[in-house]
Amino acid sequence: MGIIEQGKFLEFFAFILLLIIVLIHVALAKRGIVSRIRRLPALDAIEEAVGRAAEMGRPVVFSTGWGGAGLYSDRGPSHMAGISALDYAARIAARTGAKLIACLAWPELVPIAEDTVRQAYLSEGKLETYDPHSIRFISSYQFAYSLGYMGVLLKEKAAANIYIGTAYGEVLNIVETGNTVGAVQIGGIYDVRNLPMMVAVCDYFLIGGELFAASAYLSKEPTIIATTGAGDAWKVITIMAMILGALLTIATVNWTWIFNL
Amino acid sequence: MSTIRSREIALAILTVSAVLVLAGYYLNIEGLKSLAKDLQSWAIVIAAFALGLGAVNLVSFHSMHIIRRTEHQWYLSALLLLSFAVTLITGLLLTPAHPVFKWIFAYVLAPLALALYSTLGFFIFSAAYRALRIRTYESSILLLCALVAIIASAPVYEAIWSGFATLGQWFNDVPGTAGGRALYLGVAIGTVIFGLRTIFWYERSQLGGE
Repeated sequence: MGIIEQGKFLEFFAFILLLIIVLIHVALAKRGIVSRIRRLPALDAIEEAVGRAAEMGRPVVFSTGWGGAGLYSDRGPSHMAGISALDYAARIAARTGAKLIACLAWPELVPIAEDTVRQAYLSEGKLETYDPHSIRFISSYQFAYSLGYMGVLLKEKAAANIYIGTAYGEVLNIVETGNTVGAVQIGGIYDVRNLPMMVAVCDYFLIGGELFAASAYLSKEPTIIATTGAGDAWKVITIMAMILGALLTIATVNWTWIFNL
Repeated sequence: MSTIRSREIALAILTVSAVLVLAGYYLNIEGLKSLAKDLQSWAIVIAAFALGLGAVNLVSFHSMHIIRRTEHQWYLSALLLLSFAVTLITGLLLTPAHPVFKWIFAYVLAPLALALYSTLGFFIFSAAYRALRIRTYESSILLLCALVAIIASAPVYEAIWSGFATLGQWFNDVPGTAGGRALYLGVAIGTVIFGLRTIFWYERSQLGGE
């Protein structure tokens, strides 16, 4: 048996190829050749929503959602994508004086969110206005979280509800409550079963892969944008491989042995 | 130790751990595999510690409301802390396998959760009403899809013509699955790219942005 695990050669080869593509894109970005990132209205709307909240004197409620699992799971990257958006929202909140409340479902996100928001206030020179109680751990139990979040939206009469991360069935209760209090709603999840509900209710929305482009879009860092460009290049390669696989299957060529390598 | 330095140490730990876990997944080296497994177990232990942090956050927030006698909130906070204390003490003294602890879950938590879950039907109805109003070209497509889903699911239509169910199943299996898979393809690539950004220190949101 070789050094690579049986049946994982293709996967490993694909990973190394993706790594090379990422490094090439980053190297090009460092030379000033940066991929273009298209407009994402949902992320542009964060500034408008937080500004509106500041004018109305009502808070912005933020969450990375429940989604069945926390940071130490396959849902981790979605939570982290939400944290990137929290960083951006917190900076605008610090600048405009809007009250920001982060409702978290997973305890491991509490120190990260606290650090993110604190850092955002610090970098805007408004650390004295940072309220540690603005980061609230609600519950890791699905409907307790949902009810707690709904309570915050209703009691605080939120002007904006930003829900970027991951979600299951609890999300509809939350966004419908946000709609009841007249909040501007910005959503972003990738779960196909719950996407339609959020799309139906939210004013602005990030769908699927757009979620992971959030930090590139918001930071405008050339190296981060370059990695997103590498992802798009990899998408093209994947689609081409899928077409090739379909054509080979139609031509009755046995090529599936590649998966057993 | 300065903040910048401690952040760099945290990032270095993150990169080393991620590379070891990745190597343990792909490479056929026994020592590496067990190390990767240990690292994943540590993550679970750290998550358990984080639960304590969550509890501290919860208790501190609600205690503040009780101390300040916040209007329309302090008595709810008191109720929450009382429930928290009762559940915690019962679990610690009697163990989670004890009938009293199980009773709390079966007769308090579960009915409350189910009561909330049942309201989802009404929320779906109100959301569907707003989403299906034909205002744009996209919403008319959405309405058409919803009609197909209703026709395919409601038994009355199948009684009229048995082909409705087959047609609905086809819509679900072919265009629905194709769309879903396309979405997941983008998500999977986005997730891997996000991971690589983290390993290479480009992504720093997990350490408070800067």
